[in-house]
Amino acid sequence: MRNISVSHKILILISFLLIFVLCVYPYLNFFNKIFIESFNLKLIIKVFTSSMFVKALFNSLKLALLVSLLCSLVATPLAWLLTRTNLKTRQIWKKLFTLSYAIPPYLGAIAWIKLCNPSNGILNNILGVNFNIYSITGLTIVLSSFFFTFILLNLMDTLGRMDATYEEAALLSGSSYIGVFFKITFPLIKNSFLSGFFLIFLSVMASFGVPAIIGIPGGIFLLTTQIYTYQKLGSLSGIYMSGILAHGLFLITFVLIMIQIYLQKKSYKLVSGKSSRLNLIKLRKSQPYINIILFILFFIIFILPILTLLISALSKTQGIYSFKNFTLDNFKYLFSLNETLRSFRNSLILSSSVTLICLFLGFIFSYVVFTLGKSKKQLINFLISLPYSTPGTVLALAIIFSFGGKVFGVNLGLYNTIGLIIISYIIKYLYFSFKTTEDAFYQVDISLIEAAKLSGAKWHHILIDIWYPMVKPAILASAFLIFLPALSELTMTILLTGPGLETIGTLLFQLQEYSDITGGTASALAIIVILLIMVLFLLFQLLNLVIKREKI
Amino acid sequence: MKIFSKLLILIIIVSCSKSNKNEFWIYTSLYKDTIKDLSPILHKKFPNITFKWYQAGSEDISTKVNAEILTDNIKANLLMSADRFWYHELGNLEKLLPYKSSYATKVPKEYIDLNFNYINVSFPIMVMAYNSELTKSPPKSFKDLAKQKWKNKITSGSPLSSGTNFTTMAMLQNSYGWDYIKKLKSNNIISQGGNSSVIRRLQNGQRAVGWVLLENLLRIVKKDKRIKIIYPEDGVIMQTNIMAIPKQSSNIELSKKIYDWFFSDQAQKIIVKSHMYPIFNHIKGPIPEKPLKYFLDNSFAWDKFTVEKISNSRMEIKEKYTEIMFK
Repeated sequence: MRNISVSHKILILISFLLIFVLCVYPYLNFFNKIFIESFNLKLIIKVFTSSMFVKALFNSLKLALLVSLLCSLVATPLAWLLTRTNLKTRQIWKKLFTLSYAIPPYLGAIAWIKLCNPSNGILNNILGVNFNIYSITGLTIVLSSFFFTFILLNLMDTLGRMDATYEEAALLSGSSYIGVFFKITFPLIKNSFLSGFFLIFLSVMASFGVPAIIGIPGGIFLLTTQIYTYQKLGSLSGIYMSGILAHGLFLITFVLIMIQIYLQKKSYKLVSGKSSRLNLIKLRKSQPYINIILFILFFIIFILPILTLLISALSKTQGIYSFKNFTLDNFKYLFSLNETLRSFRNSLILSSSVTLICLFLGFIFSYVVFTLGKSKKQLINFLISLPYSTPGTVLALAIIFSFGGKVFGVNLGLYNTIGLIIISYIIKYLYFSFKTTEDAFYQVDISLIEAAKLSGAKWHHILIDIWYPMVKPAILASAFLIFLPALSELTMTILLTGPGLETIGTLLFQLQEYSDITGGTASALAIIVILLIMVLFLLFQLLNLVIKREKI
Repeated sequence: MKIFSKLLILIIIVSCSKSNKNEFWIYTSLYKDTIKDLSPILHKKFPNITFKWYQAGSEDISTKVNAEILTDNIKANLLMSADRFWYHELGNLEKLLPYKSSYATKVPKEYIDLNFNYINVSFPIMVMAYNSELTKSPPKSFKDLAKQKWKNKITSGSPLSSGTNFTTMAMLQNSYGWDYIKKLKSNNIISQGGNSSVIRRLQNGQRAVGWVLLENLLRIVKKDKRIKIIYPEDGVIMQTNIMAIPKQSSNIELSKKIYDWFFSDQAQKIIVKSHMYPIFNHIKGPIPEKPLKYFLDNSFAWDKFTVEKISNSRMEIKEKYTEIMFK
């Protein structure tokens, strides 16, 4: 701190202030409301001694571990295959597998129920099996089919930027490819892997939508289900109880993040200023077989659920599978609703503005953390990750308490405005841009920065002219991670939305649960959302190309 | 940087734009098509007022309003949803405006709060339904659903997300005890979501039989001949579409006017159009051969003791239900 300029100090101060307002203040306020203003020992004891609490805690941890392990098993070799081999189709597969991140998990769950419910699941009937989707295995598979992209994207990015000279040296010294992977590659990508692993673990602990649709009918009770149940008791004490339990979840999150920090202690530089061509492993005869395996995987993860939704969207009457039953009526009804276009407009405004703000803040905060060293890094890391691992409904309540009325004594009038939803999305998704960009900062060889400093460059020049181009791919990757889930976010929005503030997520939920007269309108909306996401995905790819060309 | 600063300014402007004083906010669980019919008529009747609707399931509305109460930030000028017991609790907490409308005397006394905190404006009716392709001998009553014959074949909405399903579960528990609910659980009932999701499970064959609102069924039975209505022998469960004015409504006088308007023939006919039964006998219901009286005579009994009992143990009922369903 001694050697830095005043302007740099101001940047650090503003960053800390923003982190406090976004990531600490809502929790302090919520804690104050639950444990100080409305302190009720009886309720606290009731929540933590309930037999359902122990059951929910065990189930949540078990599910999170299973999903994280399955995702690791699928995503790690996949990332390696798509970045470290000469598979001719690897660029196409990279894009296609990333696409599955784009489907809102809630929609995927609806499709999987149609496919694999034990009574008349389409897939069960075709294959002559009786797989029960309403089980911990079903829940693990469905959640993994979405969350594996967290590790995949992280690893593909890291492996793609990794300096290949270490591997080449090991190969030249006679190591086998497998030996190189475990002795050289994996230690280098360990931090990225752990980031993805813990991100999945925390996401599963905090997830509600998919566990609700698949877990509740299967009697699988999770911590988020218990929090939801308390909220839906319909009384004020129910809301307090959900708040109390949410603090229990924060504690678990804290422990998990501490474990992650401990495991990530040692980091290696992945990128140096010198370019290094990757020495790709040559696949010859096995290429067609690998392509077939990848196609089957992609078909199960992506094509099958979409086809199911498409059939439902085109069906006049649900559950009848014939061409005669096909109609466009569901689409017509969807567009006869006033809210449909409004929800698309609102969601696009929300997701684009939130993405831009998060990218900006994530970049600045990562820089600030990097310059302050490791001691501050752990704290900031924890604070920013807290909202992401908080269940959406609880976070929404904390945000309503904190920003819905008076903020530090001033009534901003944010309640029932798009502003409050934007703030809540920023709080929730900031972690993606911060984490991805921060990882990239630590993987850049510091010698470039030192050279710039020795040449007399000021901090803002270093930030814009050196750091920004070096971490730009990571920033772009996080844009994708923020924009798409924000486009169809549901759990927080359902509590924050108000008249005229419908979003794609809330409209989908309303249609699915309450107002879908024809039974296929929710699926029709889902298909349009998926099409929109595909178009946006292509735009992201084009943007990526432009950035790469700029580099050349 | 310029883009970011412009965007931030835009957000601040949008976020902090003052709300229009002529806005009137109705939080309701009425269906979208009913709101679509009501909006232009309300607009014609009250031309200077901009009507804003927050449409969600009854239990989502109660969660939202409870959160608004805690932040002292109630926006709704009129509440209209199905969970009568929640309104009863709000009334006891003095969060609702006692209003003795001139229509209050015309509404049957079982359907109006003794302190005039809330009133029933129409009747959704919980009946049963089945998919005729999946069963030829459907159950005849709610009680039948507890028989082992219906294992893996029953569905309902969730009492945690749907007010009408909470009322149904509470009334069934009140009449048949917790053993009945335990038997439903051992029959692997899928009890999730709102009434639309029940219809969907019947249509796609996931479940053969379930309980669901008559208004949902009347929307679908003409198009999907497989789905049949059952009027349970042990009685239908009369639901209530409750209306109340929050004490903190920003425009109490207007709230009262619109509250009264919902009892006009014009409003009641729109409610009938959405397949609910009107509160008054002189307006025909959605099934001419089955007048309101038929359902009132063949339904689980509502009385002030039932309301009081269920209202007072609302939380315990939901907790016990959760415990049974997830054990």
